[in-house]
Amino acid sequence: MMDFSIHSSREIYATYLKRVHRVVSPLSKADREDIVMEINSHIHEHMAAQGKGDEVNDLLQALKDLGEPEEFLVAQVGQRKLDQATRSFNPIDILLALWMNIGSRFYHSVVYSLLGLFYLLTFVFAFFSLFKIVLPNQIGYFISPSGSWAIGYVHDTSGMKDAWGYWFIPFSIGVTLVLYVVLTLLLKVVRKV
Amino acid sequence: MQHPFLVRWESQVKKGILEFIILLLLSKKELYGYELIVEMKNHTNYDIAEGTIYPLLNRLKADGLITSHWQEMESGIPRKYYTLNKEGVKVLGEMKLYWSELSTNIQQLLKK
Repeated sequence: MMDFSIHSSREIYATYLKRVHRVVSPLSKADREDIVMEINSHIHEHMAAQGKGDEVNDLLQALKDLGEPEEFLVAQVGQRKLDQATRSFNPIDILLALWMNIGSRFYHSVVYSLLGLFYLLTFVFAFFSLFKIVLPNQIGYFISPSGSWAIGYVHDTSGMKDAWGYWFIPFSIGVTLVLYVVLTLLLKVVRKV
Repeated sequence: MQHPFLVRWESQVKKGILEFIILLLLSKKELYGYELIVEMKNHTNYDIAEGTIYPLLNRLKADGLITSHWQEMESGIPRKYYTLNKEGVKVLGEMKLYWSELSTNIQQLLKK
């Protein structure tokens, strides 16, 4: 980190870095450090190249030219979060990445919103696999005598046959896993478009 | 005062070719972020908000066109250098070709 001789400079710098840290907080430790180091380097190089010997003003000018971290870092943090999510397959990272990138561009907003809906469907199947044990008569694959069928949660199953019984649990787990992997691979492809 | 359409159009054109300019500059030599901005200003008269260069570099890196590495400096503050990789050279070659064709077509239209 940079070292300043004037107290005001140290305070200005610390306040700016605090804002940077806040914006990059959703990222992994390695990504956070990488971004902070690069901003630090940029400020140092700017002051070394354009500085006029007045530390406080030189620092203020460097920060002004760099811009507001809440504005210029948003795109980069969103991109890196997507990279992290598609690498880790962590559902929390994925949800955060989708949330951070909805609104970045119209095309991405539409695509990420759609993917978000499909992820929601995936989590519904995960929910079914867990709650089949708690609500065995309401969750499953049900067939009525007339031949119509329903999958998932059915409030009134009187007269209907639970076709798969507890085999519905591995089915739901399978659907969850397949959808989750396919959607995450799709997210990886879409992210590059 | 410039017509609002012209302001918007100029901004779109600049935004559209920013990545092309970055790749062109990186094809000459490896550069760190601040140096890239200075080179851009010197060569193109572009006055961009300095912070906006980093999301673009990150995107180009994620697309596999450039690589980066940290280099320790005597000042104690390391620099992150960006380099055009093999894939980047290939893509830049195609971009140059496209740009030449487009430029020729526009020049012909301007002459008519």
